[in-house]
Amino acid sequence: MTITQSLFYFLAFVAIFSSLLVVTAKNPIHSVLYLILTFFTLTGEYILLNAQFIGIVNIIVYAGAIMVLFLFVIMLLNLNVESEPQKTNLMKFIGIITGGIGLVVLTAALKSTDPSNTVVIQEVDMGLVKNLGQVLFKEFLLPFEIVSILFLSAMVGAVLLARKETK
Amino acid sequence: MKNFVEIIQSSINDTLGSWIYLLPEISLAFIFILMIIADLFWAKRIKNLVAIIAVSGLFIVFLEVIDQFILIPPQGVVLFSAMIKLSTAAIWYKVLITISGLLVLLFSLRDFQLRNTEKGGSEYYSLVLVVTLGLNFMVMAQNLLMIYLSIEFVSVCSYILAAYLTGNKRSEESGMKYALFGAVASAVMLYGMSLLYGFTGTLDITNQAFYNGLASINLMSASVALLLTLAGLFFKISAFPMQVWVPDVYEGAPTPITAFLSVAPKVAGIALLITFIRAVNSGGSPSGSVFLASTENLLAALAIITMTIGNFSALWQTNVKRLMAYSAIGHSGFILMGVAAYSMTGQKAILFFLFVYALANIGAFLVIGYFSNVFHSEELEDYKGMGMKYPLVSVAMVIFLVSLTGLPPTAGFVGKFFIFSAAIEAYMLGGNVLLLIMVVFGVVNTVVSLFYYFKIPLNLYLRKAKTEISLDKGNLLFSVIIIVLALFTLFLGVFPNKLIGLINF
Amino acid sequence: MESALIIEKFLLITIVLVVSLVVAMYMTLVERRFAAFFQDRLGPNRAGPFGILQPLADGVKLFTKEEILPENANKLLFIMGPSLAMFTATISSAVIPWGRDLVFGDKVISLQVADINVGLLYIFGVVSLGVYGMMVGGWASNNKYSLLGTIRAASQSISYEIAMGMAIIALLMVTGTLSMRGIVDGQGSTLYGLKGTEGLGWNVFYQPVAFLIYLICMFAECNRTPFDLPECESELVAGYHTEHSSMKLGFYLFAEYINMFVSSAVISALFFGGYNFPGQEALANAGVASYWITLIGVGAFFCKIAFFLFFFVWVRWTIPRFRYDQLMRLGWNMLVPLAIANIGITGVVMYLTGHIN
Repeated sequence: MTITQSLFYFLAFVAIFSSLLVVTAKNPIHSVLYLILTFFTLTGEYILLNAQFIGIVNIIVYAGAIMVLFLFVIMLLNLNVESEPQKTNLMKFIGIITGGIGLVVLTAALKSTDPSNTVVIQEVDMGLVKNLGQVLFKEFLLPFEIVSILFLSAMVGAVLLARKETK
Repeated sequence: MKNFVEIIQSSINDTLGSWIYLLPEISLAFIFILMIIADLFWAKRIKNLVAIIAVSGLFIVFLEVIDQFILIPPQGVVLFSAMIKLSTAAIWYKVLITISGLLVLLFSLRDFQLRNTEKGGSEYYSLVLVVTLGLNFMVMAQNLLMIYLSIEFVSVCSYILAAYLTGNKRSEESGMKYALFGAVASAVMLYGMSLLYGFTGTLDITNQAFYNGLASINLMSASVALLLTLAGLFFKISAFPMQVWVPDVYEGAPTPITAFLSVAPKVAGIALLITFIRAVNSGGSPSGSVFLASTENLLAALAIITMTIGNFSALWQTNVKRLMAYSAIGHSGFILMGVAAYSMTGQKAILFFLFVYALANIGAFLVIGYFSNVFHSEELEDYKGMGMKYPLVSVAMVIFLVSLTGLPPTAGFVGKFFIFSAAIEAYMLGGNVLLLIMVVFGVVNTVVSLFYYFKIPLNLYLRKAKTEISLDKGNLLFSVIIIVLALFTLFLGVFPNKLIGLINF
Repeated sequence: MESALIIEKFLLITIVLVVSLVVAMYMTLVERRFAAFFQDRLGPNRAGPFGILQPLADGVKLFTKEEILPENANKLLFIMGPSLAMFTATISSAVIPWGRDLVFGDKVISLQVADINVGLLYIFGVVSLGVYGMMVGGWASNNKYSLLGTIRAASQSISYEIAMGMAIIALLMVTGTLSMRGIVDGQGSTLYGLKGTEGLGWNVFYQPVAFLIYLICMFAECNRTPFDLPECESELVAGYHTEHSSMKLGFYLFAEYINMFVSSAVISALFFGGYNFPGQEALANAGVASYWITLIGVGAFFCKIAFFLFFFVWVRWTIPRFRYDQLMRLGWNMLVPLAIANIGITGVVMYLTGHIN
């Protein structure tokens, strides 16, 4: 096993493990911190794929900004185990059954696909900023511009809903 | 550096060549920004400025959309490196979306809840325009990324619109529920899309590689990926597994928004669904497709369940908006019948049905809005005896309901007739028994729907009002639009060829 | 070769780490001495000549003080807070180019730990993570003042990161690269093409507005006065580290000084030419050995860093603290629009002067 492979397996293990902890952690703050850890492992995976730009942007945007706001909101809300509404046993039972069925179906479906050949990156420079910029402004120009309008309208909406009216 | 300059140049040229086809969308984006700026600087001085810009702007966009019929070649144009495709069918859907947008804007002008909200109306109008923009992209999208983006676009703005009446508990609940369900649906869809991309290696669903990739892996895996992706679309058209959000959202949202949500996203969702189904089945000859039988079965089964759930649940409703919500679910089932029939006649039938449905449904909601302006209630109880007091509007309501039920002489009858005949035709060709069962269920459901639709005229005409309540004056603008819509519904019922003859793709 | 490289990098990392720790250590002394100077006092001058052993005495004091873990604190996160602060403060120095390659015969030693092609973004990413140390530690203290400090830290860091990023975009339009080494090397040319200004083509002359915005945001990101609201002692006792004692507190304070050092290094590299100095061409032409030029360059770089460190101290003892709403207004209503305008103007000017056609 090469260093890259063992790094991959390590990161993948940490990613899966910490994302499980995100779901199972009792304390929402811990959940968020595990989620940040997950983002870091994902960044590691990106860097293994030589996609440094995406990796770093993942840290800046998700770990550095969005998760800070998550943490911020959760700290303000002061969520804890006592204030969390408990589900009835029936609900839990139904949840387990549906989730289990979903898991079985997904495993069955995806298990039967043939394992792919080892992925070899064709162009090593694919993930670098310059190439990404070219793709973004050529092939994906339209989605890129649409996203800007989407964000603008979402921002209008957020301001609208949060604004306090002075009569 | 030189290299990049060339790339930028070529991409600019490409964009300049394509922008003429995107004129309505670009106009919408500009009007949106113009409205924000106008609201900031001049809204205090000129009353209703933003609303005026919105209505006139959308009207211009409507003309631009109509103009596109002449602009494009018959086989359509593929734009922006196969991100979107502008075809005649897409333009028809855009026409429908723009018309319903216009009607909803006019509706909102006089809705008492919106007029009295403390937020003011300016953001409301701009958001309606943005939703229209998103819907326009939805009907044209043919790339997984564009599909996802446009659906999110519509969803995000719809959440805000549903929760627009802040301070009103029901509206807030409606927005919150919509957002939560929508987030789950889009997450599921995104997962499905990532699987599809993994299987096929392309985002362009019309690409031959997309079909080949799906056909080469085993059916089970492909179906799971497709199902997960379809979940997001089913959410938009409120079809069976993703329909639970509908009643609460429709009830709590401001009435104009309910009218809009019950028509426009459904139109766009159906258009997208047809694109998607066609892409999945497009390899080789249609009969040789791997997925044809399974998609047909799936859609037929979903159509049956959706319409049955919708129509039967509607029987017990006492709130008119809730009732209309379940009726909307039922109608999604009927439209899915047309999609299941998967043929050219089926698509024309769907388009005609959507037209008719849009007219009648927006009309019915306009009447609900009219009544709620008059006596501030949406409960069936309070409709008692109103038929005599507001004769014109009530007669129009009856026409809309008859059309929604699908009885002659209204357009709804013709619409349903086309859908049924498309399904029968598909059965004749393919011999899939499920399609026949679907038609039988369709007929049964039509009969069931009669029961609950009938409750409204029953209360309007045959029951006496319990007490005299103070009534506000009805609104002239509303009455005019309602009557025009009712006349159209009758007209299309008698002369359906006037529209069918135009629909040609 | 492989192991030689690893040893070389390891040594470099150790040196950089030791240097930043020592600088941080002595910054405490410098800060206090300068504070005294500004306030017309003497300052600490008892431990050793000129008080030069004062930081050691402080260290010993912090290490030997009582460890206090509050009863209802989240123990793990309480300790993780200062550690995270220290961690994020130290790792950002990895991409700073401290000097040109040292060339001894055919042996080339790079004075940069890692030259990654997104170096600037890396720094930006690490800076944005810096807030976690404060947030985690402050929240875990289970103390209202700490929580308030935490929340201020979070909102302040997010707000100023936006303006900072926008300022950097304008800078990137000029430099055309994200690599730190590339940015610094690009500044070695002439200023506006004038003769005799080799080594003076610093970005600050091309992007003065971006520099100002970056400078202000740098203060905010380091939580230095006038932006030290997270630990504003007149309102919040000591802000996020109210409950932290002994070396845990020491780590927080230390992290702040390391952050100052690294930020000074980054701003010197981005806007003040890094290791470039006027007259380097002349020296090279005069036949001075290249490693001497490199070493002088390193010296020049550290002079610039020292200036900015002094600037930090100078501002702290000169300008009063902002009120919270003033802070937010400055960030969102002034710096962000200014930065956006700067991007637009930069684009137009570059187009007009033919840098892009």
